[in-house]
Amino acid sequence: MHHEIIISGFGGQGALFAGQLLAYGALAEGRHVTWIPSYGPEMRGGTANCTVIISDEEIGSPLTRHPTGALVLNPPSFDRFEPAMKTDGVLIVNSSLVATQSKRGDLRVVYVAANDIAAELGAIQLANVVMLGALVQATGMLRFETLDHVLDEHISARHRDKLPLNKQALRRGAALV
Amino acid sequence: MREFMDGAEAIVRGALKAGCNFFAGYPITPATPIMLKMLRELSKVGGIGIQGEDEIASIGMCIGAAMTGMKTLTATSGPGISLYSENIGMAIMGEVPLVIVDVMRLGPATGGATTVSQGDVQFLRWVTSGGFPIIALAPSSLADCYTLTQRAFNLAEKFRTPVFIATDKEMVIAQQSVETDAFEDLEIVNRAPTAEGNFIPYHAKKLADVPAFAPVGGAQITRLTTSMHDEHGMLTKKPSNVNKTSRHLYQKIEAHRDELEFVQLDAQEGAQTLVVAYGISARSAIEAVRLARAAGKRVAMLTIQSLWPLPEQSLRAALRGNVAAPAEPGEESRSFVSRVGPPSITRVIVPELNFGQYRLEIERVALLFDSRLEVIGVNRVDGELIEPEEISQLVN
Repeated sequence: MHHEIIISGFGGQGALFAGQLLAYGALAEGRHVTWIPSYGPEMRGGTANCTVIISDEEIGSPLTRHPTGALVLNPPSFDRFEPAMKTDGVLIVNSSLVATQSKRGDLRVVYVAANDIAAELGAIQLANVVMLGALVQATGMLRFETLDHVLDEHISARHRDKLPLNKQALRRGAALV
Repeated sequence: MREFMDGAEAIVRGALKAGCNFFAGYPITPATPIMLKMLRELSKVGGIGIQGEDEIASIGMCIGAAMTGMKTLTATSGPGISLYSENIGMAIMGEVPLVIVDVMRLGPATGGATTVSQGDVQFLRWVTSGGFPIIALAPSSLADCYTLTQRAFNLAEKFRTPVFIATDKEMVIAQQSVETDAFEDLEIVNRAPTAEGNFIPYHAKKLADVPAFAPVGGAQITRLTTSMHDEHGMLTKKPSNVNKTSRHLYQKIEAHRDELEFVQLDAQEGAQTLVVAYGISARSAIEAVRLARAAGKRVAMLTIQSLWPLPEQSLRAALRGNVAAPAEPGEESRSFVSRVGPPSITRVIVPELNFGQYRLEIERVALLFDSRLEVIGVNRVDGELIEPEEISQLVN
């Protein structure tokens, strides 16, 4: 298997955290993984993103120009990464914020009203996790039990009370695929 | 054990393993993670970690600490190397061991704080006035970050000179899965202790020898000056003394080039193309070689771990199509013995994130080896990494 994933949104939407969940999950399943954050002034308000590469083989470059999968959490991320996707790639769009629809016919696009679902669950911060659930379901790249385990291990003490909600959020996203 | 870490963490672990007990630095993107981790870790082991008031003070503190016998590390990026430059010359002149990490970012000046580059390669080579040799190592994997950092300390101690780790933003901040059990530990080298009897601080039996060390503050009188000095460390203009010190500073590295060649050669019989790469661009090149071989092409790759001095012998061996003999445990340099086949290389590709600074060096050696060789650069200066396809399409 080989996946090149970009997760992108406004700073604060949890793009980097979703990427780390994915990376730690792949690590737990014995894959080679790289995780690299975008790094710069864009972190203060603009678009923040990270690239996660997961592979059965050793990974050369930690970056990708043509992702095989992407979570786009906001409109600028859609504009930037939708055209760059590899043919047959899986694009998960946060339709709560992104009004545009993909005009490419060669992608698998899943529209997830992630902010609305997260609000329904009781925590708007979970939009990233809802979308991650959709990506994992659409690609089959990880087992959900692995992600549960990763959440148990890596969620910060500050958000530990949201652990069950995070697990629910993953399933809500998956159910939309 | 399978771990997930960035290059900063691997460098810090390598430094601590090598016995580093002093760090001073000033924050700069993208080198700050190394400083933060060093300050955290040194406090646990009783070392000293300082965030200086600026770069000039920081490297000055490193020199002072090293003169007392401590093993010192600092980390910065291109703009910091500019500020370090004067004191690096002082460390060369005073024969002070230092390890300096340059996490390269796009220049000139403050350039692109958050964009990757390999633009400091010749800057590091010629960082001091006077044009004296330096040592620079370039990691292209987490295992390299760990082991080459230990090696940098060993070489700094052995040759009593500043040693650079030339790395880059992506290498330092990308997190990667890695088998840490496979990390190689080196035997630790420390400066030769003070000779008994009448101590002369810069006395070397032969020009290429490294003087014995006595710490500042110890029983024996030692001196450090930025000016040309005799073996007592006293200022001199006497041509025979000046000549001796100049040639000593040159020979103590140049005469030991054999011990300073570190490369990895992935040879293939009948290969017509040799890719020569270092640092993060070697990662693009490894992928490119995989692509080319999958397409049925024959290609060899030489990964340079010791940028300076230029590993000329290894480069010539790679051009001949030889393979590296595996290093024996504890062996410092690798010899090239087994020949794969008749020389077949006709093209050399050098990918790097600058205008071709290292290609110039490769060209010089390659064309003296065989003037018919074609040396091609793949160069990016836009803050992006080289795509493997940009290299693989040039493999013939």
